[in-house]
Amino acid sequence: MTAQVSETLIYHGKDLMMFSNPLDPYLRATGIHFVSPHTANWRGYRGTWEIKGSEETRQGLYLVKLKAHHSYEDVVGLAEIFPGFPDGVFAHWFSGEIRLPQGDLLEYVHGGYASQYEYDLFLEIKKGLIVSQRAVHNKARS
Amino acid sequence: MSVYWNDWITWFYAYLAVGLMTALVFYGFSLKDRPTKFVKDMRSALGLGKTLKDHLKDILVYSIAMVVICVGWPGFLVWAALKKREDRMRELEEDEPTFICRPEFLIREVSPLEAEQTNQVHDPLGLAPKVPFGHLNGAWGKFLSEFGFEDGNELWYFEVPKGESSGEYDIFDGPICGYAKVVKGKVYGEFVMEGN
Repeated sequence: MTAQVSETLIYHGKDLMMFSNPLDPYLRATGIHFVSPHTANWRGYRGTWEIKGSEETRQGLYLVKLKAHHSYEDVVGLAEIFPGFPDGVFAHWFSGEIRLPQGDLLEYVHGGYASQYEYDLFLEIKKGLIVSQRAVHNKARS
Repeated sequence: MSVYWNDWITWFYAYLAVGLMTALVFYGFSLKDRPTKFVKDMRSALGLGKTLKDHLKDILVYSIAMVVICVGWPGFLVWAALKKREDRMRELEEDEPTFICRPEFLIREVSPLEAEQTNQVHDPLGLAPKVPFGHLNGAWGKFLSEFGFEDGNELWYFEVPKGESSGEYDIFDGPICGYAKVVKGKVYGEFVMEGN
């Protein structure tokens, strides 16, 4: 197992690593499969996401960029998977927590998203909308 | 030469003859499962080839089996039939698709119209398609087209609670919900509209 490349989330104007794959439920439901280009990307794609909307109304999770492999050479983007949605795809199919690690790397783990960082910001998402958030201060495992 | 069917020894020989034929047929079937020359060569190269002792052991085992089948062939045939049935059942079980939805996660039976009316997407920016299930509308349509609305096929709403594990996936860190095709309480298909 190899540590996996993360997704990216643009949140409050910052590019953050995201250790969650909100596109996976959509791919399972639609039967779309991608091919892994290398061992650090078994899922076969990398997405850039953004939290959009105002706090007065609701804030939602949107997929704004995609680089997905049908084969090693055949790379497709958002326009091929979601034609007609250049401004972003609302992830209404996703409910769960997304993990945004931040700060210094405390422990590198050579597998999945298991590496530990100084802080984890968790966003609780329900049908694509943010319902709550919490932060966890991590300590190095001795 | 005439056969005396009222003589018990004739019946005994006939019984053994059937047993011998059964044993030979099953020996023939067992030859089909023998490793190929390629596998034998590979095993020899790895130092796992058969020794003289192994060959003698095989001959002894086959001889004993032949005698046992000749004598107790009715019992052997019953055992062989049961084993074949068991193997077939296991194969069918392995071929069955696995679903996230298990019968205990079924909440209520619904109609397709009701499912579509309750699943309009609420997108803060209004970018999502204004159709039932939004971007999953195509997947929903495919699910319905394969559903088969004959008598006995039911559409059920299901929810898998957070922390459960099911199907091929590990423990879920959020609820999962969707619709399942149910026939006599058994799940035959599913459409997952919300998950993680």
